[in-house]
Amino acid sequence: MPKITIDGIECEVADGLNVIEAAKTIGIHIPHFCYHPALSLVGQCRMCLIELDPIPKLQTACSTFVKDGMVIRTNTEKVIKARKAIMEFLLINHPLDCPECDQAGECDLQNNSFEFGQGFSRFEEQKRTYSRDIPVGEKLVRIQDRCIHCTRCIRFFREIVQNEVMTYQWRGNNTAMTPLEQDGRRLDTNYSGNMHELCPCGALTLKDFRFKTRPWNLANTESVCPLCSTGCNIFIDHKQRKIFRIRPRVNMDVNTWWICDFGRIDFGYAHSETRIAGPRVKGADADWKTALDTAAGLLKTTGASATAILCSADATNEEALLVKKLAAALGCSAASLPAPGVDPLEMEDHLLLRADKAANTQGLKALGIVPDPALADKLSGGAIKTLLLINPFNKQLAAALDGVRDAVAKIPNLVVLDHNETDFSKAAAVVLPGAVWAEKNGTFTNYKGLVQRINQAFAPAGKARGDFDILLALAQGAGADIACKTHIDAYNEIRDDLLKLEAQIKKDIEALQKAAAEAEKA
Amino acid sequence: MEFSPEAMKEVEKLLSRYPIKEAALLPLLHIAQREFGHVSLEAEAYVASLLDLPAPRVHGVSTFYTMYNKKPVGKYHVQVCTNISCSLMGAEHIVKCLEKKLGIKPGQTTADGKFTLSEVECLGSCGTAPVMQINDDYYEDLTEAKIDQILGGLK
Ligand code: SF4
Ligand code: SF4
Ligand code: FES
Ligand code: FES
Repeated sequence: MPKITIDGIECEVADGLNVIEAAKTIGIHIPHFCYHPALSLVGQCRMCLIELDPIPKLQTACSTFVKDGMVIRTNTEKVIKARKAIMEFLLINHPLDCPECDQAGECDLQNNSFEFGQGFSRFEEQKRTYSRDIPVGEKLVRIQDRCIHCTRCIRFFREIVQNEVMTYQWRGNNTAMTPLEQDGRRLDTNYSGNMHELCPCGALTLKDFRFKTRPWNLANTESVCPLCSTGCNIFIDHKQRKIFRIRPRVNMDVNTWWICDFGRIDFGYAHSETRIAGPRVKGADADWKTALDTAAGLLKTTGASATAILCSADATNEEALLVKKLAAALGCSAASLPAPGVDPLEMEDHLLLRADKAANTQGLKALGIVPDPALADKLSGGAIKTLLLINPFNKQLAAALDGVRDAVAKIPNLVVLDHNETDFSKAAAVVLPGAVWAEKNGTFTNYKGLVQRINQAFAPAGKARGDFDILLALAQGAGADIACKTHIDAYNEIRDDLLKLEAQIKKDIEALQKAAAEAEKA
Repeated sequence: MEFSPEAMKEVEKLLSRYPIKEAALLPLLHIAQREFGHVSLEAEAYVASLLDLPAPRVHGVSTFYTMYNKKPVGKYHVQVCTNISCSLMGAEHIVKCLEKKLGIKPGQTTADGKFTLSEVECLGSCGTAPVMQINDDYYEDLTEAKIDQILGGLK
């Protein structure tokens, strides 16, 4: 490990770091624009200049890699002056329209200019301008005037998305980032939305979020995306019980810096018109006590063999535990349905998105709630007279239910627990309005077996309640004696099972990778 | 859109010269300009396909260099140097003469498609300023009379 000195502080840093990352490890921030740890080095913006003994000229920290004995200075007169000059230069054509720019408040250009700029410009000429607000595919809007030519967008599409749709056009003062849909390339990739965070200024903004609110007005809750089994780490940015946007949260073991655009944009169901407004019994509004008592009563009426619990894999691990306990109390089975074409180790695209479009398939498996192929036959044959159907709104469960839709809707004692209306909730004897993931606490287990925490951003909408509480009441109503009264109790009870599965999957994946590597060698 | 067989032979020779195909991009764009008259988006995509490159990358390169014409040009492309030495020697007057005689401004093409007029940077012939280049030929030490004679000789 090389020993280096930064601003007089001696430290030992990992091999292969550049000076920006090395300085970061001891809490020194070197401002930069074009450098991003996920992208190739271009050394283009010159914002990261530092002094490196004994070289007389300033060096770019992004493209200088640590070597034993290096002496680096980031706070000398010379560096400070250079930063001022670079900031002035970068702002020559920049419109400085922060008051109407979405990026304001979380903008590298604004922050660096505030911290390292000189506060005035000697540029008196006309700024060059372009036509504004050009759509880049369906999801982004480009304001070329604001662009500082860092080329992060170009490199992101080239290197990460591996679909080169952005390029620079013309040269010098006229250089403009240009999206080009040529030779069948489509601008709408599964990952375009990441430009929202990646662009260091407000040149590429997210259509979905534009002009909705200021970022500093939003609360940021750490959570996990529920839309596929990758389980990308996210921030839910919300205000007044409403989600405004979803952003990636860095986790190098899961999603690195990115999320897919589905996870970013598809949260409308949390606030949709079709959210189930309140509990219902036989189609009529009911209070919670009546609905829960009726449901618990119904579940016991037709005997264990004609009763079943069918659960989507969007349930948290803690909810799944209660489902198991409820099933045990009723003596019936708890299962999911096999989803067509889901292989837990097969990627759906090269980056993050997976074929398994449910959040917690592995967690349910660890707790013994697995797809039951016989259940579909029992449902269509009319053998099931009482069914607790949990979250048929989930796309994967909805697809699996497709063939038995009518049969399920006709089940006499159908109890539906869900957050949005479906054909099933409309036909159910009892409807229990549950929560969406943003309204829940608990854990999901991703496809790699990693157990990840989701945190409640805000309370369930309207009269809805958390699924955990509803299941707890049902289980108690069915006569079960349940010790775990909170999601934390429940987690502690299943922790060992979950961690065992995680270790197992890790081994499986390693074995698969080894086999693949050997196959490649041979 | 395709190169002629002769041009394809040239392409093969060029490709054999470099370790990676991308390295042949600039000469291929020159061939495209010669073959198709100018470098259109379609021509860029065609060159991209010959080099297994994404078309947007080729576009970035072709727009960077001003010597690739992005729009069709006339039969004779008149490029007048207006950089410093030529300007000192009266390039501005030369441009005015050409504008008057051809009836077009720099960047425009005559209605019959015969002439396109452009202002360009230093042609590397400052010693004989003012200078212009028509297609591949240089015309030096220009005067108004000389221009009449040169243009008159172009059929
Ligand atoms: S649009 Fe943004 S990311 Fe792309 S070059 Fe300009 S400033 Fe950089
Ligand atoms: S890849 Fe999967 S988990 Fe990640 S953001 Fe997209 S849907 Fe969500
Ligand atoms: S971050 Fe080093 S030059 Fe841009
Ligand atoms: S300035 Fe005209 S040829 Fe050099």
